[in-house]
Amino acid sequence: MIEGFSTYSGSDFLLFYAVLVVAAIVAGVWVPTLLRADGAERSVQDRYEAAFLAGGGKRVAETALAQLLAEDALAPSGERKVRVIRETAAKHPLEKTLLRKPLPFGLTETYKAIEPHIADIKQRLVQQGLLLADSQRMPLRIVSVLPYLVVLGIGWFRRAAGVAEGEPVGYLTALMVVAAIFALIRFVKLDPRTRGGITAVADARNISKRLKTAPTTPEVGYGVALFGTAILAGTPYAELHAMREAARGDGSGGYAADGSDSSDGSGSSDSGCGGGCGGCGG
Amino acid sequence: MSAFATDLWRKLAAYEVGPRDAAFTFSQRLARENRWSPAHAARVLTEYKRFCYLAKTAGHPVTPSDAVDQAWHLHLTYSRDYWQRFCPDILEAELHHGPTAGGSTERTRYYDQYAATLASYEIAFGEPPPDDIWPTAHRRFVIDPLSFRVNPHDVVILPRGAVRFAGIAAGLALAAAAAGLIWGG
Repeated sequence: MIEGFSTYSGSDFLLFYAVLVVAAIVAGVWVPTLLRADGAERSVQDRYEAAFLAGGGKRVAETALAQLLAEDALAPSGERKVRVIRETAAKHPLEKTLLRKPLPFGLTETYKAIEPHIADIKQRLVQQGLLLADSQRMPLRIVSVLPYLVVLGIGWFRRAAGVAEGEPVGYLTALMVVAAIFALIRFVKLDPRTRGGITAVADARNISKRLKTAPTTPEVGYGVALFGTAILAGTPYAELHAMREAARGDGSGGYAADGSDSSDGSGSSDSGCGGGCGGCGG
Repeated sequence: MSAFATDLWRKLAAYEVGPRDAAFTFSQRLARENRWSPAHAARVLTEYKRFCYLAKTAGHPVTPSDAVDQAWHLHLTYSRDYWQRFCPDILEAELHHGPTAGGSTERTRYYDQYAATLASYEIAFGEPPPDDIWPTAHRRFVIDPLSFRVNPHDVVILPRGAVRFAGIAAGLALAAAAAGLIWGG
């Protein structure tokens, strides 16, 4: 069969190869979905465990800042930083770590300060069957890119034949580069959750979808954990979303922009009559 | 206890704002003034009644969404109905409307009230508020306050999405024409 590829005309093979690349993209998504470990069926209640499952370690850092801002333990301190203004009765060791910081700090410093706690959360989630263990991840990565490797192998064979015959191989090479880029992305971007972990986040989001609209003070952290800092736009804690967007937009993959310029990047505007109307107190 | 099982909710659900024999009903006026479909206006009216229920029962100050606020504003203009029928007979309390005084403290206060209203809504009615009538904080406190009255006799109103689409289409057409001129000689 392989022999047959070299006998296709250039345009016929290109069309055939484009279909193969699309098939590899589909298979690269479908195969790991099939082979993903089931894990455990359980709900996730702790806001930091929910944050890690929904958005990884950085979401944990954002959740901590959001909750402490909402509790008035932290306040924005200019240049994309926050500072401790009040030591609350923080229960979580991760929050206690942040409340001990004497100087203003940004997202990068937050993440670094709580990294040991994030490692603990990750370990707990693996034990609970909601997150894949490190040993389960590499096989899944490899299986995810196998379809691409087959497609790239076929392309390589046909390209060599084309070069030997003196045929133009530019379009084929371009398609192979596209396939290689997709393969790389598929290898690097692995959803690290078990099926149980994915379901736990989906269920939590469904049960708590009101938090996406406007969470109350005790709910701010859990809302950010499940839905990200975007839910803070238009709230009194919008600065955190602006900090996060600024950090993400600096091209460093995020979390390295603390204090890099003087813009506060606020996502909210002074809407003048922003409150609308109150009512009777019941 | 679910709100639906209470006398207050039964009275609110059955309440009709304005005269029963009006040729142009409250709901129709609400739809016309806000350019809503009759079905959407009817849904907003139900949400307004739910808001009134919460104002009486939640135990904390409540803040409506912009859509619910429009229903409240309109009801207040039916002043006899509002003050002489609705408040004394249905709510059995005075429900006053209080616009914000502005500023960041007020904004925080109204955000907290809005969030608390949504949380109480979910407890009372057993479901989260519909997000097309009770939108996100960003929509509620940043976008919706930009609204103002216009008269279609004086201005042309175009949806922003349609203008964007037309702009892109015009840009592409111009680019294609320019390319044709350059390569076509």
